[in-house]
Amino acid sequence: MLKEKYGKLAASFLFFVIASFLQLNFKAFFGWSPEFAMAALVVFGFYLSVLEMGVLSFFGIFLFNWRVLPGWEILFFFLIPFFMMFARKIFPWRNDFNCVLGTVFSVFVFYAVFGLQGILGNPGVFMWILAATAFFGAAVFRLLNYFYKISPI
Amino acid sequence: MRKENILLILLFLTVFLIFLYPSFGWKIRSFLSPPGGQNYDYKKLAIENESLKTDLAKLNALKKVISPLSGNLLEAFVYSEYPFNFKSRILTDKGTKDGVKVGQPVLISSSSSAAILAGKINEVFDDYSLVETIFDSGFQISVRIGGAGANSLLVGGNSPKLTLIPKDAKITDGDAVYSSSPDYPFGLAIGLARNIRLSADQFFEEADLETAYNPNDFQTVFIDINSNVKGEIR
Repeated sequence: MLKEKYGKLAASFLFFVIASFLQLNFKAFFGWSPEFAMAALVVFGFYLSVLEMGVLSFFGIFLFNWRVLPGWEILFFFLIPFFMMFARKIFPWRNDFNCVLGTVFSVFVFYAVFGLQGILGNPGVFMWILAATAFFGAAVFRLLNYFYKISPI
Repeated sequence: MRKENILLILLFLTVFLIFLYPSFGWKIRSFLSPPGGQNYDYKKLAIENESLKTDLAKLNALKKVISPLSGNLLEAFVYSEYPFNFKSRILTDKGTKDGVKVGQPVLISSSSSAAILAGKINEVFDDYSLVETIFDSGFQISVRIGGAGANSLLVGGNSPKLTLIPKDAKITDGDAVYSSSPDYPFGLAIGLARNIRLSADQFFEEADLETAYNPNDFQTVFIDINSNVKGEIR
């Protein structure tokens, strides 16, 4: 049991590193990127404990913080998975649907607050970001659920 | 040791790293990111070419030599860049202690014969500063295009655009784009105008801005510290 819990955390950590790698490389090559890292964190909120989520979210801040002291964007990046962790309990739908909804909602709120000008100037790109992020979130959820049976679908 | 204790230790260790060694995170991030795209010599030549085109355009437009730079450029190392979409901001290692002020132009090359405007100082702290680059969706600057000196407004973004170009402006594909805003030294090269077309409302023309570099190439930038806020040049 304990071994499985550690396995879950290690798998989540690896998924997060892969998501960060994809995000940074997508942005470098295309100039924009789906929010893979945020999607991964939101998915982790569906099956990790608060403490485990804390470790991963702080690692996320550590990796994505671009200023000397974390700014509001990074704080939001840290808090949104926790918000989704509790918000999903009030949604009446299946967890895989909640997961997709959660990733789309997180990305939408993030950019509505911190990049509204970007959304208005590039609505097409933003739609692609939302779609690709939702797809990635669903894929990570399915994969983890297959191996760990973490959450009843 | 209980699992929760190990997690707590990990948590404290990460918080410790976030606040005391943020540069370690930036190093890991740069390890995960791809290296700069183009060959260095090629990029240097492309930048010089853009700058020379701008010099020619300026000379044709004004019939006099203008030296846009004060000659006091401060080299700044880029620590990290904004990791999300629609904003292009970078953190440099120079701050108020080094004479950096908000609004000062930031260049991607130090040579006065190849000075390319890459952005402006957005926020300054004692030991570091934040630069808003021309790839930021909030970046705007008035510019001129080509030898005829057609006015335009450069709007930043992933693909920066030249907007509000008068329909009767005599510009051609590949014309140099240079700064004409009172907030910056006049005549700083920015890039080349490409894909000139009618705007959606048909009242103006617009074009894409082609640069000889991309947002991943910001490893070292140069701040014109003698250029005061609002473009006053000493």
